[in-house]
Amino acid sequence: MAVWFPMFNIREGEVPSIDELNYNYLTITDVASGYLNEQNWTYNGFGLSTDREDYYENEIGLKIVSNSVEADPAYTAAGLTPAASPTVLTIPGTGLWHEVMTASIDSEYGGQLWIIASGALFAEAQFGCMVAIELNGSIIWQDALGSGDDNDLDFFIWQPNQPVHEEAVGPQGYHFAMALDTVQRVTAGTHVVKVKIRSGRDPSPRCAIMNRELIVIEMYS
Amino acid sequence: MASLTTFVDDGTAIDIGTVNTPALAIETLINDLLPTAMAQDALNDNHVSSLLCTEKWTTRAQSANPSIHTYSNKLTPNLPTDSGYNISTLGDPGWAVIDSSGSSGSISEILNGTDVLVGPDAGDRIAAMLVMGNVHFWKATVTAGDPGPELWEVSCAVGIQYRYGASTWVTIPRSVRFMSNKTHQRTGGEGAVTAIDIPICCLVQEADILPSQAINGFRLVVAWTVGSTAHFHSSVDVDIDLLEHNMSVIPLHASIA
Repeated sequence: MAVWFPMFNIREGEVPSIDELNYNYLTITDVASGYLNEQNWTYNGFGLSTDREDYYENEIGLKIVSNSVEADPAYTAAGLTPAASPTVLTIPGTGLWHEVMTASIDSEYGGQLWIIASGALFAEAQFGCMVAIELNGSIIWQDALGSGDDNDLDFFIWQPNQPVHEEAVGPQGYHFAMALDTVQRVTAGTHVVKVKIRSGRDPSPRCAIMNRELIVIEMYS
Repeated sequence: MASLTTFVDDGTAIDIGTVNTPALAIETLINDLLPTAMAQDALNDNHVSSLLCTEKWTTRAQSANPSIHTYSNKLTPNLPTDSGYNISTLGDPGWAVIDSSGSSGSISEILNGTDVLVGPDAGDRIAAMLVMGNVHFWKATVTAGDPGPELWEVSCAVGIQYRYGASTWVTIPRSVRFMSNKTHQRTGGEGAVTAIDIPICCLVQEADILPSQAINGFRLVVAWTVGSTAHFHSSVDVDIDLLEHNMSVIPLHASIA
């Protein structure tokens, strides 16, 4: 908690105390040495609506790393360089995690990482997939996407497909979209973030990812 | 570290000088505060978020009307296949703007119409724009033609566009997502409801934007596409039904590593 100044009031008609005078000065310098908080700024001092960016500009404590793949081999807006090496990545049907995107971020002080992954997937009928974010070698299961496959309960996959002649309700699945995100607190140092997909039940690739994007935002706290 | 070197000394008469000298030193100190003067977590955790979600370019909108809206626009050529897709030449009518059908809560121009220069060194100091959209896909219905035994070759395509100038919209290719419908149906058949979200997260950076152009809007667009394999029997016409949708744009004052 910061200090409201002055600590001692000097009143008319009193002999001022030297100690109180000096405390009034010292409390300011002490608090200004690393203990200022939101109470020390004037109301709306940073701007609450339209002009906040005027104060913050580069000072905000965010760092971003990102990685993206563009799978449209031909499209580019006039004046822009076409995306390099557009690729569709097929996922081996081994049931093992397969890396599809990676990014590395150096955190100077530690803090929180907001990790966002998004992509366009497809998987053939009856061969689904599971998508997850991996941070420093550990799959973050809480934020994984996938659903149970009735035919293989040991392997929980996102199975948006059903046999095509069935009339049951559900996404047909050849194409579908995914977005994952998680907020993780990390220590200072280098952190490796990956997006992984696994698909199984058939040795042939039955799942692939087209457009994809991995965004890592470091938020100090 | 802030410090004082001049104090009111014991035994020294208090006069204007002895009071004002340390006060002036404090004035100098206050005017030269360093970032380290702030307590750890003082602003981030309490009042000022690291993400400036209240500045003028942070905008969000959503459809407030739960009605289903139907879009018949088609991308040509389209071809979302297992080797990629191609929207290089958009046929007639191309993308449809989501919400142009009259739903309340239009999200077609979500940046308040103000110009923003995006880039770490650009004047607005916005390194990137985090654009997040979500469209609730309801179903696809064949309205003309015979899709054959399998409709999974028919896909709903959703993407993000940005605007520069008065009315020039540019598609961000990597933002395009597809959703197929499960229903096996013939022309005029009742399509089964799929009801699934199509989420998109896209970090729009300087390289995505035409050189020297300030952007002033984002919007979600939709169309339908067909594949090209032997399963697909003939040309068809398709209606795409969407339900709710929303979109948020957050400018990030950040460094890009």
